Amino acid sequence: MDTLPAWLVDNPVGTTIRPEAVRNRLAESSDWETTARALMLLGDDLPALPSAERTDTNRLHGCQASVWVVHAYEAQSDRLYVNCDSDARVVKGLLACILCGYNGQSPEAVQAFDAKAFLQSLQLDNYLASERRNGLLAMIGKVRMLAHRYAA
Amino acid sequence: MVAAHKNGTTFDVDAIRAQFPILGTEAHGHPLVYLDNAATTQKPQRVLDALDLYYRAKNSNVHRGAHYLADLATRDFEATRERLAAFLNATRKEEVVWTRGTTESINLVAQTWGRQHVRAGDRVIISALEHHANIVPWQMLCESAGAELSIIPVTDRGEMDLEGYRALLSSSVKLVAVSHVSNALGTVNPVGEIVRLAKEVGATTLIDGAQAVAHIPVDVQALGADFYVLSSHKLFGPTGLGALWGRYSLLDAMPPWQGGGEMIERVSFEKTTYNAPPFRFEAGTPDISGVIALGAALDFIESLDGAAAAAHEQDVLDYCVARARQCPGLRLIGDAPERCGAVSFLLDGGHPADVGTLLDRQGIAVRTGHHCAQPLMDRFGVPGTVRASFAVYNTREDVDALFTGIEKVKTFL
Repeated sequence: MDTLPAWLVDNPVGTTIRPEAVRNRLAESSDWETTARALMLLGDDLPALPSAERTDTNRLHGCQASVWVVHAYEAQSDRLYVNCDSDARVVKGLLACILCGYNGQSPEAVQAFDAKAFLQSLQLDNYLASERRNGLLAMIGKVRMLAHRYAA
Repeated sequence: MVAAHKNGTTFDVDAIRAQFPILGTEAHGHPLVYLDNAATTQKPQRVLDALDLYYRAKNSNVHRGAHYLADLATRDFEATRERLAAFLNATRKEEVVWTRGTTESINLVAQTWGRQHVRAGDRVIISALEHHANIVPWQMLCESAGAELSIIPVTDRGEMDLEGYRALLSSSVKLVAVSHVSNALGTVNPVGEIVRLAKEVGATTLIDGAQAVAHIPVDVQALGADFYVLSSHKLFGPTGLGALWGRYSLLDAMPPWQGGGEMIERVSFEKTTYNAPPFRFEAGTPDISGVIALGAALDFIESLDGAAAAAHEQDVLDYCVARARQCPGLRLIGDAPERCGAVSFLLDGGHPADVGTLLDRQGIAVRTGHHCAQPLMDRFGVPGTVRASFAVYNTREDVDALFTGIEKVKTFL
């Protein structure tokens, strides 16, 4: 198997930045401004996708912001690598909030992670209602489908 | 706040705002600043009361019952048809057909008049600044008929290019369908001239008035168009209701669209004959409560001093454009001198979706995205815009709140 690219495997979100860490970073926010800034900084932790990966095939359609989802499954280690990018910073931060439970995990662990409940616990679930703006539900659906495909 | 205007009239916007309960509410803990009126306008108390009263005291089906309530509902329902006909200065109330909205009105014309008159080799003209509702029904018609869809180009300022329009006109043009006011940019289009030129080549005309009716007096006779379409919910009335105005002679020659009750004259299994307009196009039980409440919305509009209200709206819009020009890092998208209701813009380094989210958290409601006008966004080479859109109850203070919000947004970019 070819070596997986750095922007996929060297992604701290999901490997070193796990849901507990995301919760801690956002928990320090007492108002919407700090939350929004923390979200954007979290998005900055996602390695940017090279422009060659920002294709129509990788793009989720129907969202106001462009959202690209790229993945690879490493059978040897049974890990699913997922990275996302967006041209909107708040959206990218929200994507990171979900990827922290998905990226670099086994397909079973991905299936066990309840992204919607996690967003709800962070009081970010109101963003799920603006699906056409940010595509969060489409992204969750796509990653869960991938996990289902690779689960033993 | 009572503002004095150049024409000597005064306008008490606080008294107007007091009629709209939702304007006193909060969003995310901030006083609501509602600048998404091009998407839908808010509803005055009298519209809410009319909806409530209908179900409490008048609910019954229209046109068929032989009882007290049915007469009551039918009378109010048909009275609103007459009111809307007068609002548009139509010659008779039978020219007003109730639909589910602007979109359905356009589809109705495309699927009846269009199928009857547009043939292979014919052309339909729209413009590059149309809402998808005034693009897709014509694309569908042209595809099935083998006709061609031609597009009036738009200038860098967001105006229709009339020279480009003239170049498209020929005897093969069967229909010209354009918006009165652009939903995405707020450009007021020269519909009188567009209709006049269309008539020179014998083309039928449809004007999408969805974004105009809450701002500009409409006189369908003076305009000279053949069809004019609108939505109730952009006119302070309920959602799910709209109207098609059409010249009676055209409506009378059109085949029915949807089949069912109400639209028939007589039904037998051998042969069904159809009712006259407008009922021919109103199959099934209509939105009775919505129609009656739209009557209350028309009452609200007619309660305004029209000239003072127009001057107030223009003042708020001009103020917004002036503030936008002074705002560093803000780029106006569309800058037509004839503008109404909406201002579209981008902030340097700010995706519209982010800008919209960060304004929303401050209680400011704007629309972001492509505004159902993707070809227009492509024309300007932008993924979308942020759009602030106004109604008669908005104020300079709302504009100030928007720009305070924008300054805050900039600290995130």
